[in-house]
Amino acid sequence: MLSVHDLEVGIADKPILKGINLEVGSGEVHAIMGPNASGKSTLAHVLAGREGYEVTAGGVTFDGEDLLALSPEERAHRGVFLAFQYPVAIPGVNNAYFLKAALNAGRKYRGLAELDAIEFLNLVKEKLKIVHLDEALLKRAVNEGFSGGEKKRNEVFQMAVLEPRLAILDETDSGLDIDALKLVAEGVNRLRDGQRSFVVVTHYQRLLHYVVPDRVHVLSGGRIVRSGDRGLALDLEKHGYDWVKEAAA
Amino acid sequence: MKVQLISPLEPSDPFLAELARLESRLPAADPPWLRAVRRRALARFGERGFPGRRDEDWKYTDVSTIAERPLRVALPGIGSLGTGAAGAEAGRIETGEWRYAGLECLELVFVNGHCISTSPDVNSFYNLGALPEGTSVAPLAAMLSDAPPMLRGSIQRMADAPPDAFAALNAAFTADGAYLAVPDGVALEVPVHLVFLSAPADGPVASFPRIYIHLGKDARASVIESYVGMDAQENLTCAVTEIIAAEGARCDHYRVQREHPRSYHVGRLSVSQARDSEVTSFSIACGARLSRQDIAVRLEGEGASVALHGLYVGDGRRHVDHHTRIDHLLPHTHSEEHYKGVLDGRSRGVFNGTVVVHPDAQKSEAHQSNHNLLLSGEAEIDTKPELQIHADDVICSHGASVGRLDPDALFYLCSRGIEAPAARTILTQAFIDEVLARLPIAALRLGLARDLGSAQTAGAAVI
Repeated sequence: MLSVHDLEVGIADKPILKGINLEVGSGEVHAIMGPNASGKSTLAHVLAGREGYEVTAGGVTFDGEDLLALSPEERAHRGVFLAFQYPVAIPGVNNAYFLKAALNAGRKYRGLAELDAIEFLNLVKEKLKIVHLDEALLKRAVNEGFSGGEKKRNEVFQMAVLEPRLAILDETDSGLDIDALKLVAEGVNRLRDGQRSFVVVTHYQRLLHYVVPDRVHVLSGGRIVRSGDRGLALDLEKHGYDWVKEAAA
Repeated sequence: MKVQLISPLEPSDPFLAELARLESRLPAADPPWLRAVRRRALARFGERGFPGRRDEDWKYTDVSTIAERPLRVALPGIGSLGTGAAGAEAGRIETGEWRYAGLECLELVFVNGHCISTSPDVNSFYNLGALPEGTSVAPLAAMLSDAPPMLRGSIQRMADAPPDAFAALNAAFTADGAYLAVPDGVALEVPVHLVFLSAPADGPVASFPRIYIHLGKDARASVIESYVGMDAQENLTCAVTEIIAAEGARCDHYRVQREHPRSYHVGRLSVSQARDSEVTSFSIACGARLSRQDIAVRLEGEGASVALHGLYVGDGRRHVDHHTRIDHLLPHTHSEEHYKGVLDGRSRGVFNGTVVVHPDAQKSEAHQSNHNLLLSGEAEIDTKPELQIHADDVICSHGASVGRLDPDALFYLCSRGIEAPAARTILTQAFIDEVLARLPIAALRLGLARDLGSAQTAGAAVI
């Protein structure tokens, strides 16, 4: 489904990713782990199409199509979803209005009829239950005045409504206490259906206790220095990142 | 409109000739005192001439296009619409397309400054219903022959000491407009909607509506002034509104300027407030090639309070200017002012907000903000907050900002599948909605949201 090959990315002439190779198949969950400043978030942003990054070599395909040639909204239409590490607060735009616009833009792309207000409301009421969020959230401005936990649950809620084919979770666990982490993880697990793929970017292994990955990759210095099964995540927890860095050196 | 006026006026002066032409069409009851007042006002105008760029108040707004064109004053009567377009326009006027759906109101309709709501053939528009006793809502023309002393005084003051050249010009050509008087203790429950249609009339014409609003002690009223451009034309509208709020009175005033994109609009709102009175003003400007709105508020009684809200939207090569001045004259007076602007294309906005806290105005409070959104690299805004504080025990604040759409917010919306142009529209609407959300009249709020393309506010009833 997702194929990243020899990807090199920089910001203002400073290389960040130095040749990433990654294959994510349909229904697979891949964890990207690594110390701070290893390039994890850069990878997530480049996949979603954020501006400001320069791809200097390599490429990314999604179902065989050149992903990097597409705009962020075109990527979303093809089923790529990024759960932000820092969801953006948008004062004055209410969550329901925003999400209805997003959902109907995607439906229009797929040639489906747009949902009216009633159909939309019925849909989102069901999806809110997945992350245990209150209906009042729909009337609030997007992420404005949300607690850290609410913001992350709102990301998973959006994912549940938009039903992407590939979800990239960028440090969705950061800043969450254990209860909030469990809620988020439960939401993600309910969206695992054997078809949908996940790339879970995280610094810590604790999210992976709840969202169990098929593959774990360790990113360090802009390269994937080690790949393995979930046992690798447990080793990392025991030995720390210095262990991989030394092993890679 | 080259100004070479000297006092006394030369009979050959083109302005005087226009005045004579206008007066020849006014009813025989047009009083002699007013004819004298008009000539005095024209002399005041002649002394000043149109403002130039060296005039500090007009530094950013060049009115030479107005000054250089010939002045043709719009005459009363539907026939003044001209020959060709008149029939079609009269038809459009009958559709009432400028109305706000669901707005229950008392309505007076004007075409190029002259009220048509009393004309026998269009009296179906004159839907005033039953008014509380002692309340007057009338076309100004109907009040002039036997003008109440307050009204007469107001017209004379504006003629003899006009705050600027356009106010002088308005006084010189005062012939019609609206008169609203609400007696002590009376609340007018439904808003008064004054609709000023600017219509083609065999070439560009100038209209000079004059609105006089007097609220007695503890009286209440809401007034909406809509300025609507009908069809391609380069008319000038030069309007003056005066609000006098007696002790404890409350006035909500809405001014919506949606003139034709090739027209010119200059408006002035003068407000005098007595003790404990409350005035709220909304000024929405989204039309005209060049528009200038002056708002001057005098807080003349203790505890008087005013709130000025504004929204200006420019695109193409439009120029939109707001100048406001609030004078705090006595203690415990309160003012707040919140203006927002959205400028696209090569449009230019001007905001100048002066607040003067006079030495006697201790324990007063004044807050002002002006936030601007520039949607293109070529749009411009000149924003100038000006606080002059001559008292030491006051609370004042002001803030101004000029910004662009937040790229992080844009990316967030697009990453969810919303097309980039739609994402930009959503964020721009959110900026505008903050002003619209403060409009207490729902029909007006929804109508404006539709006009300004804000689906979120217009659709707020659905979700």
